[in-house]
Amino acid sequence: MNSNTSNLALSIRHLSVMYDDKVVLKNVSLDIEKGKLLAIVGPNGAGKSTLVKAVLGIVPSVTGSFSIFGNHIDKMRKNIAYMPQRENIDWDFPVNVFDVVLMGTYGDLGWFKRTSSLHKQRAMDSIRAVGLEGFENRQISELSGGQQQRTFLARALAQNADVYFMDEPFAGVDIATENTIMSTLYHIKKEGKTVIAVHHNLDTVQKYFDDVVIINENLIASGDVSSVLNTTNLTKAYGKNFHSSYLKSLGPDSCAPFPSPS
Amino acid sequence: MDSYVVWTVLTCVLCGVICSLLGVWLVSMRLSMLGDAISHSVLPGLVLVFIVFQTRSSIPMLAGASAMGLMTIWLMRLLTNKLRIKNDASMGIIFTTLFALGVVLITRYASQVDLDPGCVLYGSAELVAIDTVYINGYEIPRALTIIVPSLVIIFLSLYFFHQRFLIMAFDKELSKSLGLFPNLYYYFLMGLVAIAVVASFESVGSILVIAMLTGPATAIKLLYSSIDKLYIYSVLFSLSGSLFGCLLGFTTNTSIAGCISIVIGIQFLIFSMIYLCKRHVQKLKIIQ
Ligand SMILES: Nc1ncnc2c1ncn2[C@@H]1O[C@H](COP(=O)(O)OP(=O)(O)OP(=O)(O)O)[C@@H](O)[C@H]1O
Ligand SMILES: [Mg+2]
Repeated sequence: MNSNTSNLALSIRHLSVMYDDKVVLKNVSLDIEKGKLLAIVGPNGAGKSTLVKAVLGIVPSVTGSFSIFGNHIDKMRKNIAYMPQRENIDWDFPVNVFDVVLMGTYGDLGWFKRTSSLHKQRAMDSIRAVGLEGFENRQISELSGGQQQRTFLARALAQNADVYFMDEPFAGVDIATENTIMSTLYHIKKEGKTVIAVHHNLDTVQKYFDDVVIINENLIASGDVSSVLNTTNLTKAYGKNFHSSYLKSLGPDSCAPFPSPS
Repeated sequence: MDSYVVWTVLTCVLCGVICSLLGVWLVSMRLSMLGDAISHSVLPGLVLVFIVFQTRSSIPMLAGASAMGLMTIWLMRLLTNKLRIKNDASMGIIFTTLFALGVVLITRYASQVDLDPGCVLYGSAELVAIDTVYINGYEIPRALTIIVPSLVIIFLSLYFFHQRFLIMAFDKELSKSLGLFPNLYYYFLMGLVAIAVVASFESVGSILVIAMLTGPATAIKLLYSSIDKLYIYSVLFSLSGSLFGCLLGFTTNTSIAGCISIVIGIQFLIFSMIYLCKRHVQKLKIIQ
């Protein structure tokens, strides 16, 4: 690899992942630039979550290598944050908002070392940043869907990372929460950090993100939103039966870039 | 009060403390039945320790038990992952097989093994104060030589590794992405469960062990939802269960382990009533 790698927040080479005997990702190679908001899109079961989990070492990969800022992931664990898909959380687990957000600081745990007041401060700051002050002591099942998402966003913030991996941060939230989350993501970006988010709503990709990765088992396209998010690529990913107001407005054969939102 | 009563009550109380502490994790992780499985499957481990080392001293017993407990978990996960059968099914297969193996070993080597399968189930809390050893000239029940070290190990582990256990139990994925080895801590926790089970079950029997593992934490979780509160109130719950159970056992002159189990059951009933009343009141408030 060339000397430019350190400018790449994430570089993936020839990643393949299997569950049991089923191939979920096939030979995916990608480069993601530093300081970008990037969306990963694709249909249900396309392997979006798997892509993120494979990079983080949560699921094993059959082949492939990754680097974060040119380094092996094991050296960079303190520089990455992860927000899981909400389906993977046991909401009945006996923890409150503060406990969950504090987990974001556990990357600093040493052997036998417990969390310090500095970590608690960082957790409180993150809770305030997503507008959840006053809810610290709520058990997580007693929150609304949007508050639950914000709790996990706050936890990612508390990780104080350089690259944020988020699996569907906008799932099940109303417009107000979506705006809170989005302004948090912009804030992260302004600090020169990178956000890699699995995203479902094709209509807002253009508005929210700089770059996009389209996958469905294989990598279909990756790059600047305006040059990559077109009918050809989306039809390859979703088949002919997808619905998106933007795409309908483009007409069936159009490959033109999307119109910019006003 | 004579020392017989004191030793018996103390043994039951300490068993209750270690089991209810670990029960907090089993219940939170929805693994209540794992206590059941481990409490049965450690039996062949104990018997093997007797046969091979000819000893009942605490260190080899705890080591044999934790090894067997970990093997149970490992076998269960192997069955669940490789054969893709449900967790409870593999649990049922593994622990019954291992328990049966233990029973067969006991009967085969009866002359060498000073362990009665009946005692394993029902315990022998009544005999605790009679079966004593001398340590530095003091006569104390042999059961305590295994219960007290277990209590220390469990207490220190839960204190120093609290965060690691918490993140493993709640969010394995984040734990992995932070490089905190959730699988290691999963097995560590299960090893502690095995230690708690072995330390307790010879005195109080595996039925009461299961009651002490699952009863307190399940009852408290109805009303409270933080690990710290679960710890504190579960221990109090088991304390009251042990004390009133012993009282009942001594006054009626029946099985102490049985009485404690019954008291735990009654206390659980009270907590579920409180929970139901609380929910009912909340509903009424909403309607008004
Ligand atoms: N633990 C698992 N074991 C076996 N198969 C799995 C596992 N997790 C996911 N899969 C399968 O792998 C494929 C990709 O799953 P993945 O969760 O990555 O999809 P996704 O793109 O995130 O979908 P969604 O939009 O529904 O979240 C799916 O077909 C799924 O059924
Ligand atoms: Mg997913």
